[in-house]
Amino acid sequence: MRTPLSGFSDNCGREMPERIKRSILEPKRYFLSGNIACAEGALAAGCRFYAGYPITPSSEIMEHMAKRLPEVGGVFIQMEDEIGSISACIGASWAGAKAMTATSGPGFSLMLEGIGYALMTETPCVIVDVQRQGPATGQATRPGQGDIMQARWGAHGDYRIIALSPWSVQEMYDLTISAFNLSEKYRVPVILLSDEVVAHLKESILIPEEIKLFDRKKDKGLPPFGNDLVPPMPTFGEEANLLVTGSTHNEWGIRKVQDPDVSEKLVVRLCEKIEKNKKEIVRFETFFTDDCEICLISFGITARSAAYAVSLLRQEGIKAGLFRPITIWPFPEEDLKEITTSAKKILVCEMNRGQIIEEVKKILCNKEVFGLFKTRGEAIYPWEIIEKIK
Amino acid sequence: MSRLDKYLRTEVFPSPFCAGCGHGILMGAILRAIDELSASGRLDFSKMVFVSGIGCGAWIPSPHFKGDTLHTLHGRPIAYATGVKLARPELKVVVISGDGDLAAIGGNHLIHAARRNLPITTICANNNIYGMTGGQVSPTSPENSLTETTPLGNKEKPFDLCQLVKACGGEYAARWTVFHIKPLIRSIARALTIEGFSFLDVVSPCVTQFGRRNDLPTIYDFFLAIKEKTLSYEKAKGMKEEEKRGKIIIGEYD
Amino acid sequence: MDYVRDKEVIKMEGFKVLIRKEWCKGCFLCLQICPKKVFTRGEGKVPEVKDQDKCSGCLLCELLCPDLAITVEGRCPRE
Repeated sequence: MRTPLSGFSDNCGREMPERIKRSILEPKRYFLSGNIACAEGALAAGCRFYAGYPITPSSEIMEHMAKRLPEVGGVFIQMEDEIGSISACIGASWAGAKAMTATSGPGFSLMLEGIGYALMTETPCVIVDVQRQGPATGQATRPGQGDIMQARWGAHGDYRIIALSPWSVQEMYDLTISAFNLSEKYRVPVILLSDEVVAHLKESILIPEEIKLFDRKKDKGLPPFGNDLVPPMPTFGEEANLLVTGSTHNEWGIRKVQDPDVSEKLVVRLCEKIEKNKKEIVRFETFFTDDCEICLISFGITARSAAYAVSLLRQEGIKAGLFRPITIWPFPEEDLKEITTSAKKILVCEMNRGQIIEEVKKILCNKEVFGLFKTRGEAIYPWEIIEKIK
Repeated sequence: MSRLDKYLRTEVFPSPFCAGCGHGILMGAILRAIDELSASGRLDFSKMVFVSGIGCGAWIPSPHFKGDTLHTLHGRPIAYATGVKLARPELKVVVISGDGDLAAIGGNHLIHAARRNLPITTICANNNIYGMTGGQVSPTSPENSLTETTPLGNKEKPFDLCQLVKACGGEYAARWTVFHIKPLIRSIARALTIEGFSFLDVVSPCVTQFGRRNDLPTIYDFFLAIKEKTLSYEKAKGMKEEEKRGKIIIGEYD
Repeated sequence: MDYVRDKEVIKMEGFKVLIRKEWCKGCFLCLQICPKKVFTRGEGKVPEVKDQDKCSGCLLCELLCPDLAITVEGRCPRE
């Protein structure tokens, strides 16, 4: 399938300003699979610690990291389970390393308690979830998009999180770098919500000459859990006398599990650091939305089919457009509202029984929103979308 | 002003432990061992990281130690410690947590860290019960002991954690009770200097949850009972399983 | 208090047992294990030092205090 990658208006220019670094791989075109591109993106972003556990369809990320990390002075470990993997990543992050783990459905479920801990302790780390068809073991080798809400709400308690959705091998590379940057900037675990098709897809990708990187603030002497919306994060072994705890804590990390004010202040700040920076974080892409009457909303590999469907529909004179959220969480609410003003109908395509559609219905409550869902363990094909529209 | 004040966040004291809880004794023993090693220049407190899980035992370092502490999820301190140690091998990583944390929910991480012979020290504050959650049976609760979830007595056999760690390939394993204070301090100091997985199972009385259900109302009653029940590792070697039943085997395992 | 080691009489210095009362939770282990009966139950909820002079400096109370509330000052000059 040829994807109309050109002709897109996007707002991808919003990157962190900080450090410019030369790419690790020689800058040129490569022919890589999504998983390998993701691993290379992580290395380029400065990831020097990887802990993982084998699971289809994400294992190639781990295998590639096992080979490549020692070459760049990093550390790789295959842990005893996914719980151990996320735990080791959080530990490594506090020891100063940029850390990543990758998994899929069942493993992601196991990691959620650890992700909640990373949220509470404001630990930067990147979690790649190569989505497969669930629930439970489901179809281990087939794609799905059923972890959207799990990524948002999976850990207990209330919080805000960042999740990105790549739709190409190039984006597996680029968004992995973005995931690290966002994670370091906002001290939050970032989830890369990939899927089996993008992960195993082989495409040509361009490794750029230079990339922009962001490293965590480290100012010693300032409270590591308070005052600033995103406080500085010292590391172990620097005489900062760090107190890191998953229990409700004050700005210095001292447990205050009975104090209502401390709890309120902490949880509100954890949410606000994402909400108040939403404009900086949110990314999306549009395709023929200026005059569209029917707007498709889709993400990941499904958006590739949707984009193709839009180009075919346009040839037939049907005014279709596509809105593709790149940050699934936070969801680009305001932008979606603005972009779909001309649209009368909204079609949400996703490989589940309807998850993002609920979010869309909430935002576009005055429009006719309908969905195309598929849980057959195969991608949604362009003609299925066209059929649904007609 | 106590000798240990330089290692403590004195502002958080008195400790949250119940009156007569053995964990405070263990806290002192750990710091005294560190003090001994620091005095001879073999250890730098500022280059140590204390990782703990959830439970009473996990509160020993966090927030009491004036150093880097990582108070993690229930059962996971060894996994977090693995990350810290691998990312910064020059740091001395010490895990301090309870028996429920390390042997039940975190048993998998314990055996794998021992198998890898990961160079960290793990100290199990073993009070034979889930203290913080109200006194439920733990994997180290002695046979027939009464707990909130074994109202008719514990019918399961407890873990010998030292034997487990040694069988998995851990470099060093020893068991003491908090009342064997001098060998305990020596043993902790020894464990901290070992380049491999070192493990200490420290039997510590829980007056509130274990004691009150098992006719041991004060810490002194534990002191007397433990005196009766301990058996040296060397002596236990030649003994039959039956004879060792219900005993606390103390010493360094080989 | 003096004691003999290697046929040499060693003069013990005066030990001072200090209790940090605000840290003590009153388990009275010190009172029960002290071989010289230095402590007394006292009036309040925490033990008190009754007979300072009897202390032989074995440090059992300091090492075993679950609240890290006891410090024994003064040491045998040979140690």
